[in-house]
Amino acid sequence: MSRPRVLFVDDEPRILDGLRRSLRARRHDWDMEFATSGAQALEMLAAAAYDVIVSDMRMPGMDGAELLTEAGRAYPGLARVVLSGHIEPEAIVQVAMAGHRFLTKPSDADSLTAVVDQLLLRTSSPDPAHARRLAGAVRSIPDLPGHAGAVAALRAPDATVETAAHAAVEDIGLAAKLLQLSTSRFFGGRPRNYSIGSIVRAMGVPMVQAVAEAGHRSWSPAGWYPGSEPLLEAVWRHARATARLVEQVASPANRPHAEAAALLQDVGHLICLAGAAGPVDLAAGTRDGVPFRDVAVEMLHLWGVPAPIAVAVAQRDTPHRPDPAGLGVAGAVRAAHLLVTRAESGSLTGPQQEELALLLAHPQLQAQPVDWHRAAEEAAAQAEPTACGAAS
Amino acid sequence: MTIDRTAEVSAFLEAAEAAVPGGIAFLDGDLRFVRVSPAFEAVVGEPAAALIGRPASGALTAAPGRLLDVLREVRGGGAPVSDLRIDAAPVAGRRRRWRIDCRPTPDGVCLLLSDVTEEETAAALRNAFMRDMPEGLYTVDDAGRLTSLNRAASEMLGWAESELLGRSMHDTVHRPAADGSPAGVDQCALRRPAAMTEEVFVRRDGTPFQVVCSVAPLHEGSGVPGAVVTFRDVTEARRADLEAHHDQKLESLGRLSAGLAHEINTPIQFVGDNTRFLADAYEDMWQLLMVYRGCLAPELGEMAWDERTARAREAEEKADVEYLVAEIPAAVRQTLDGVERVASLVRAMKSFSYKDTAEQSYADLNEAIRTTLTVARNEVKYVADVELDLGDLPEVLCHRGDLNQVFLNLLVNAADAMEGREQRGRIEISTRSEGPEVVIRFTDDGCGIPEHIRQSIFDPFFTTKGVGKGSGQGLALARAVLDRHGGSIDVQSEPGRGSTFTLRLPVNGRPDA
Repeated sequence: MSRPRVLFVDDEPRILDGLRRSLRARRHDWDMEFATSGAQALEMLAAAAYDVIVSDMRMPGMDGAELLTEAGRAYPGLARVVLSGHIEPEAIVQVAMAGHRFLTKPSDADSLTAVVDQLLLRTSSPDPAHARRLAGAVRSIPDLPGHAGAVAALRAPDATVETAAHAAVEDIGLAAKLLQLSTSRFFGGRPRNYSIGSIVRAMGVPMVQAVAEAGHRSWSPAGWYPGSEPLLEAVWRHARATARLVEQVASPANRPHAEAAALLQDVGHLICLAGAAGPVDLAAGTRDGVPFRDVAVEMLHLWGVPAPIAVAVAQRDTPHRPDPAGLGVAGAVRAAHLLVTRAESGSLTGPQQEELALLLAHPQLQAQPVDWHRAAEEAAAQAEPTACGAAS
Repeated sequence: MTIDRTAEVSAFLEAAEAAVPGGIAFLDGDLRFVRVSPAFEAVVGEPAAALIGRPASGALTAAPGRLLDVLREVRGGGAPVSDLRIDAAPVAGRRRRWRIDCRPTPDGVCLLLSDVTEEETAAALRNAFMRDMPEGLYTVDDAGRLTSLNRAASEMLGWAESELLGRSMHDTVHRPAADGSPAGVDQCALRRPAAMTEEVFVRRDGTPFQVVCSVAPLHEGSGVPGAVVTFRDVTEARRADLEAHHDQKLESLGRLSAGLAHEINTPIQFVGDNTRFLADAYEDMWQLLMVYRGCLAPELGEMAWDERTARAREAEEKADVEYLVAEIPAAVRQTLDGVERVASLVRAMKSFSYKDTAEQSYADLNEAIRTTLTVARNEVKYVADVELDLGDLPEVLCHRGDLNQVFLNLLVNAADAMEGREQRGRIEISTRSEGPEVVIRFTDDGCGIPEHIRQSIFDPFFTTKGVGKGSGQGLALARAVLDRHGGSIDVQSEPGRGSTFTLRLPVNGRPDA
């Protein structure tokens, strides 16, 4: 098998010389190529397949954001890394949509190498290249039909941090984008933790508004896959209810990650069903034969979302064997998922019941004086957009 | 009474009538005019012939009713009337004020009537000055002692007029000259006529404040004239100016700092990468050296020469020694180059943000332009090539930091003028020495300035740039700085072709400064 190929783009040849020399130790692992302009980079991409592109942003002629946008459109499987000393405020949102990962100059060779290595790694999937293409094409994730209200409130000029945080929690796609951007200092301060609230606070309302606006714009409204609306609505409600419940289930330290993972558990549905032209199998939950979940995990991985979140999303449907020391993020999400599923449908399969019983017997849940089934029912009821009054 | 006596009294009366500022009329018991003085004729605007023998009510057709009332009251035994002011009918649209004094005579009344219109207008004007004018005003006599002080001045200075009357205003409110020399009252700038000079006054509580004041001579009788001084507190306005200047500096600094970060981060990135490479290369070379040492070791005495060279060659290949030999010098060169780039940038930043003292000093403006270009390189390099055509310049007496700011503003404007162009633009900066002046030109081939706004571009807060791109103070500041230097700034522009800004600066500073 041929070596992975990495393309570096910078208008300053000395940066490229420096990278070539400092990354020389990896010359046996990667094939590295270098381009001094966006146009040259596009020519090289057309001539040969690359796995990762690492580009500067401020360049004469075609700038980095344009290059990555163009490259992402033509080669969705190409992992896109921004390496820049400064991003113009006017360009920042475009960059946020165009890139997968964002590194600041100066970055040492080790962090750059670590990111490239991560991106060369594909999450396990029967068809990793295909999952990568589906996930790599995603620039932003549209908000669900019927959930535009919170987003509209976010766009109001007088929106507060609370409004913005509320909107981000209501909008799964925006939450995912904010998680992606929160790992880079281009878009705001370092959040205290990876809860959506902290991220919104660290980024500031104007940036969140700009990201939401750009996300909305960059999604071509080709519509949802025909007949998928009820499924998407159910998925959204389940995510909201699970996120609510998992706050109680997870240990305090794991809460932010667990909340995010619960929100994003079915983000794959949104990605795969938005304007889907390709063959979708709604019953099997696949697009082009790739499971929705695999696409979600691949995208979270590409976007550099903290690993515990991606792992919990990946393992949501995997039976969990609880560790006596603690449930962890994945265990908490799995437990909340089963509880909410039971509350929603009234029943679980036999093995699921056994697994849930085991999870409920876990000291972490036993320690709390909570009737978990009731808590799950309440969470599910609260996630119903209109049924709050009618249910009781 | 003899005839002589009557003639004598009549002469006295005529003299008195002539001496009194107003007009005098005598009326009989039926309030008919018996006698009127020429001044009276003038005040009422009727000849004596039209008055004598006729009743006041008929003869004084234009007189206000109040006057007739007064005459009737006094004749009827009422108290004498003194200094009663009434409105008379306007003449030629001009309103008139009369003063009435009226006393009974044995068989009638005596009426004194004077036109006080001018007197009252003057008093109103004076009141406006003294009481209502927002500017401070005071008058001094020939020795500089206060003779009057208006309310605004009293409020600004914290002194009441009565407290300062007769005191030397110079000693009381005028701050000593900046050089500390005790400026005597005779040398006081406020003793000579002046318009809009800047001075510092001191309040009663000792706090100084900046004023713009004017001094005009005031003749009161004979001898050396006194003066009337008007002044306005400009402390706030000066502070606002300073803040606007400061805002503009911050604005361009904010814009620069992002670019500067980029300009510094780039060399830091490749210096770091190259240094890391050199560390790796050293390690490889060291490994190679160890192999060479091994080959030379005496214990290998038996080993064939071929074997030794084979080992060395193998190690060299492993270390990729050809590559190292080719790359190490380049890596070192680029590292040093990067370090120099950062160092020169930091030097330029220091020089650019040069803190001006109040005094001007001689500076090399070519150097200042190069510095500005280094600092602003990142603003320009993506859109235009800059060509410098710097002639031999004498050093120029100036505020260097302010001129740096002007150069920066012009450079950034030139770069912004390239927006929307397909190709890279060209900016030329030229300097020339022309007699007692230096001439600096910033020429760009950008979008140009439309005719209809060319007059406005130097106005404060005029901007064509988008929100967040500029506050519209750049060129206003440039003009203010050039004015302060006794220089000028002009623009020639052709829409679509580009603009040239021409700065002229006197080499030896402002002629009058």
